[in-house]
Amino acid sequence: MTEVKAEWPGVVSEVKVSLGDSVTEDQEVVILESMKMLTPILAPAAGTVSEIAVEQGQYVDEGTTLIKLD
Amino acid sequence: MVWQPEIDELNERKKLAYKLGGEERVQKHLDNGKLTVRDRIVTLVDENSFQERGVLAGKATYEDNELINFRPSNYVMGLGKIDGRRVSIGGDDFTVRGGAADGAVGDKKTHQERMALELRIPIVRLVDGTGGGGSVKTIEDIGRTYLPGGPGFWETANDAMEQVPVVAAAMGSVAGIGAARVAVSHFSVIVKGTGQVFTAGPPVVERGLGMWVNKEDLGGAEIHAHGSGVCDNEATDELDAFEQIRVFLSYLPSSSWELPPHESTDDSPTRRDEELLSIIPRERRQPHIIRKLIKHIIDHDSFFEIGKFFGRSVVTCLGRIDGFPVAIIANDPMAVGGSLDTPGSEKMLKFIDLADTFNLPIINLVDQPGFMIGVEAEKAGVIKAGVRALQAIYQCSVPWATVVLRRAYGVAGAGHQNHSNSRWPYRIAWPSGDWGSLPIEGGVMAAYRRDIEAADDPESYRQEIEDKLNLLRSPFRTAESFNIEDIVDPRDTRPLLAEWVQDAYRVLRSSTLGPKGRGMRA
Repeated sequence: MTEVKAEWPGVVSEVKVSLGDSVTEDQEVVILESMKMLTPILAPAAGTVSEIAVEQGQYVDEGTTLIKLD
Repeated sequence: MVWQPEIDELNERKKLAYKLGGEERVQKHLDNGKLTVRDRIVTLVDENSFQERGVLAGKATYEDNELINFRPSNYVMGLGKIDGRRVSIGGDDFTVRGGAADGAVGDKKTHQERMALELRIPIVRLVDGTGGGGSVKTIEDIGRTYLPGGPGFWETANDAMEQVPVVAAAMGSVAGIGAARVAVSHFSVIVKGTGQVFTAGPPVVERGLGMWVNKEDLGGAEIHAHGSGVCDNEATDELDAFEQIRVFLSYLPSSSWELPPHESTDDSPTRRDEELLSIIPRERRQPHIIRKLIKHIIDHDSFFEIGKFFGRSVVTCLGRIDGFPVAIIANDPMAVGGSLDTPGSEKMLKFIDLADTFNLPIINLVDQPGFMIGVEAEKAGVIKAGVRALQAIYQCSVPWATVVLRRAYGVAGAGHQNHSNSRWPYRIAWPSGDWGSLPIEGGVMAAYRRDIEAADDPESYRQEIEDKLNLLRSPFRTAESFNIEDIVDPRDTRPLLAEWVQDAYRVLRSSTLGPKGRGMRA
């Protein structure tokens, strides 16, 4: 299982995947707004989305798990 | 033929040295995917250029004055050439006592570094060994303990850092002084899978902390090239590490007394790439791809990044413009919104010192929203690390060019160049320029809070103020007051910098070169 984490704090602007989606390595999975910049968070490895742990508009700390991939 | 017997003995002794730690240990070393130390050296340097020094050093055993056993020193070093330019190069022989210092004979490491300082040539360290004291077996051998010192290494390390390029590769499990020899460098690379760096290895960690961790998780490339910043780059294998060392040195002079070498290029200095006109999105919150942008400006195939996975909001790379080496700093909006955080500041500081030490003109491509904000950033000491980076900017004396691509906000944004009256950094901005002490969006609430709270409809009043201020945001208004000297067509950036770099090198050629006196810390 791979956890996609917020590498810096910010607000979840968009979740770009749905449960069960298969994603490729480096695919944009979440857009995090940080320092007024919409920064894409990339999947560190390929996998299937098994959990979406955050929702749009939510503030997340650095290190928060955003999405889990199987 | 008078001395033929001695020549025969010389050749015989060399053969013994070339056996390293013996067939069995060498085979085990090779099986681990590692080259032997001499193979590493001759693979890295130009063909037939390695001139070894100290090949005869070793621990000999005699019986009735007959040499019956010889264990060569486990440090192999000498002079070589990389791209036709002299370097001093040395490496640990892991097959003799694991490369540990108790297998050394004489101080070949210090000799190599002194030689480099005297000849004013780069130092290449291929590190594959452990501590200065080697192992605790030393205690049994010498019959006492000893106060650690390591005078040889530190005698030369500081001089080397301000005088000659120092590059290090971590090519095995590297601990203690071996780890220090990797870290005290201008450029370090760790070989993925076979290189690990730590202050002490897993057995010591287990005994001292009660924690078992394998060596890769303790100090592998993932730790040191992707997080700690101890190693600048990771290499996929040993050959990749050698290639990175060759490329890094190609941008640098042999010493701080010389200028970086010019390389001919077929890339026109007046090339104007159309893509630059659209590379920055109009929507303020949309990031751009900074590495692509840099490549449109510098000579084709001249991009060499240092520390890609550490301090990611800052990109530091070497490149060439019209064949002249330059050091480029840029902010990456894709990481931490491009803000200056603690790792980014540390990376920037070291890179500026590197450029200043080796007479590389600096180009700063600015898209700086400010220092990183928030609890984690404060805990990490962002302002302390940040001001150290700004101090480096004000300390450095090489020619400097600033291109404001987009944002320049706050104290970090102000630090895009040295604003002292004694300096004249070349500065231009793109039409996407957007700057200030505080961003309008957040700054309005701070400056107009009382008025906004007193308004009948605070939200629409806030929006009204924001809209009013946004109308004043055009960079052309800033240029009217000469607060930015010029706004340029982004496509002209390369031609303009190509002219500037000619000036920069002319100035450097007529300057007194050599160590800057501030020293350089790793």
